[in-house]
Amino acid sequence: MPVLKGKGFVYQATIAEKILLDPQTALLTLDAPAVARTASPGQFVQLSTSRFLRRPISILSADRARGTVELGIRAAGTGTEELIGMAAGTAVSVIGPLGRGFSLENTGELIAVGGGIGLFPVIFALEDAKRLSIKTTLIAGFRSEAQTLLPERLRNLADRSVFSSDAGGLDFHGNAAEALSSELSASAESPGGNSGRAKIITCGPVPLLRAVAAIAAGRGIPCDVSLESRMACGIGVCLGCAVPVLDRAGEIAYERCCYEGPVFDASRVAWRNMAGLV
Amino acid sequence: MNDHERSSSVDGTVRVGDLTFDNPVIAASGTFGFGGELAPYYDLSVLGGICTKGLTLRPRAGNPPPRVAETASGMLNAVGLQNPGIESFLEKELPRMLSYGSRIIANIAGQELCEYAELARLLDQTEVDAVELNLSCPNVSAGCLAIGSEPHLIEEVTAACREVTDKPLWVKLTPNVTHIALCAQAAERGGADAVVLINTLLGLAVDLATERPILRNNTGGLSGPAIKPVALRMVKEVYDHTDIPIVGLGGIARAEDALEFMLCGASAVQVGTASLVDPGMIFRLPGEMAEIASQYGYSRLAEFTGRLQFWERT
Ligand SMILES: Cc1cc2nc3c(=O)[nH]c(=O)nc-3n(C[C@H](O)[C@H](O)[C@H](O)COP(=O)(O)OP(=O)(O)OC[C@H]3O[C@@H](n4cnc5c(N)ncnc54)[C@H](O)[C@@H]3O)c2cc1C
Ligand SMILES: Cc1cc2nc3c(=O)[nH]c(=O)nc-3n(C[C@H](O)[C@H](O)[C@H](O)COP(=O)(O)O)c2cc1C
Ligand code: FES
Repeated sequence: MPVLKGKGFVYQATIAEKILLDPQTALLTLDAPAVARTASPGQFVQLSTSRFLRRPISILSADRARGTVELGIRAAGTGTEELIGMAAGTAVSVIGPLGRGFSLENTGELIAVGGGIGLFPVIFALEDAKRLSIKTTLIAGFRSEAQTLLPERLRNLADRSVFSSDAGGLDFHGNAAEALSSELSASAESPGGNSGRAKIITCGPVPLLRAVAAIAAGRGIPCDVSLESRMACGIGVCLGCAVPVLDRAGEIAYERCCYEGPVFDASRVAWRNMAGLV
Repeated sequence: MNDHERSSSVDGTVRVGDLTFDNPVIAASGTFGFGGELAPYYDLSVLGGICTKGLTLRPRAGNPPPRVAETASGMLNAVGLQNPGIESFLEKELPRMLSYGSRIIANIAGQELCEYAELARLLDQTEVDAVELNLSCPNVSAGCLAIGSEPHLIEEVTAACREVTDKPLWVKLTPNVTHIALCAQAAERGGADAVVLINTLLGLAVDLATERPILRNNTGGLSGPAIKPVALRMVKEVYDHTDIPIVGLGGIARAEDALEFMLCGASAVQVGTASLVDPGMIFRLPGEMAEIASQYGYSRLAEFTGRLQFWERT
């Protein structure tokens, strides 16, 4: 299919910069002013490759003044491999910004929990929170010390940050959900700190999200989770990207990951039906 | 004259039975929602028509995910007819769709024969321009596929709908049959105003690592450029064996594809999967078809219909 010139919300973007974080993971900066202008944390873009369908990738950060967006991509198959192999100057067709992101409205304190590449969308949220003078805590989960991503940048993002590692060697020995529990218990004041308007946002592997959602529910803290689903259009027209949620009657209903999501209120997600989703 | 002036002098109007369209390009069912997601970005009145997502009597939640899988030059889907149900459609979606300035075709799917007639009856007094019977959805366990692959059932269900509505009746056929022309003739006998072909081809995508199908529904419908040659062959076969108009689709991704369908006998065309990859393409299609038509010296797009000449057998 031919690559498009932008009309509507399909844009022709250029890769302004590519940095390999490790052999499997790259940070791409896209020159895409129309996307950067309106992007908000938790939203994503649909990128073209030589494969048939586009690939959904979260927006890691947006520089509205420069007209660029950053994307963090981990090679997981042929499409993402092609994307991390692209050199600066490569043209790529992009649709976005898409979906409903994290809501920071009425948030006095933000606790962001990210696991592995799930940290990428969380970065944008923490940057926005800083701009809005919201107090922030980051819990960043990694498999091991060797597998940390963007450690310096993450350290400077939040007022307080805890790096956890399953293998030990970082601030906390254990997974990010355990680190969250310990962090919440340590703060002597009311759950989530002292504001009473705390919110947890989280992105990463489904078992982590589910554990974080349970902790948030147990403490009565609102929680936004960013979910993944196999997508075709990414723009809400095909109903391909169903995420199971519980409707008011407690029945399973399907919402579009690309349109009602990818960020969902954790208390609505039908976690038992989430296994094996992608 | 420059290219633009020449193409704007091409008449895009086509007729499908008694229904006239400004141009032959229609958005296919299930790949365009009810239009609301794209309306903020594109001028929907540029299209000849818009087909709704498949509508059922009661709301349907659809299949569990994963519902889509990428394939070579195409995709499989098993959405399972997720839709809000006909009542909610008539109340909430149709009024907005009617404001788009494009013809509206209601795509309906019943679990049983009698449900099609009930749906057609409910649409009869509405402002939809045509009713499209989806006799071919492979993703619903009860009934559907069986109706679409049995000529006598196709005739029966078409006739049952014919009895309750004067709306133009389009019958959308499944390609998962041996003799597509027999199915089209059955629709014709039942009183169809047009046949629409093709729907998706039944397929399977396998995950080597988990030794499971990728789709939670196991099988799904194949669509996209991969199916175009099958669709063209079927349109031609039906054109040669029926007298009712054909609306052609299956893998159309550019203006040339659409004109090929018309050469094979289609009076109008629908664009499905291509809109999922390149949502702007369908809006450029009418203009691009006109441009090509003028290059070939045509003054009306309708002149393309059925001009394909088969080689003589030696
Ligand atoms: C909203 C959203 C945001 C995402 N953000 C990021 C991000 O910021 N960084 C990042 O590295 N990855 C992200 N992903 C995951 C990324 O989209 C997949 O890794 C990618 O689609 C895999 O494509 P592939 O060709 O490499 O793999 P293949 O396995 O060859 O892909 C085959 C098909 O499966 C789909 N698919 C495979 N894995 C996934 C998955 N995990 N999620 C959705 N579809 C999948 C592909 O899109 C494609 O259609 C995100 C996914 C979603 C839904
Ligand atoms: C995600 C998806 C959903 C679909 N839903 C319907 C539907 O509800 N009713 C129907 O008649 N056809 C449905 N179809 C079939 C298309 O309308 C079309 O017949 C088919 O995809 C072939 O055309 P294409 O290759 O241009 O997509 C669907 C196709 C896709 C890809
Ligand atoms: S991917 Fe098509 S509706 Fe979400």
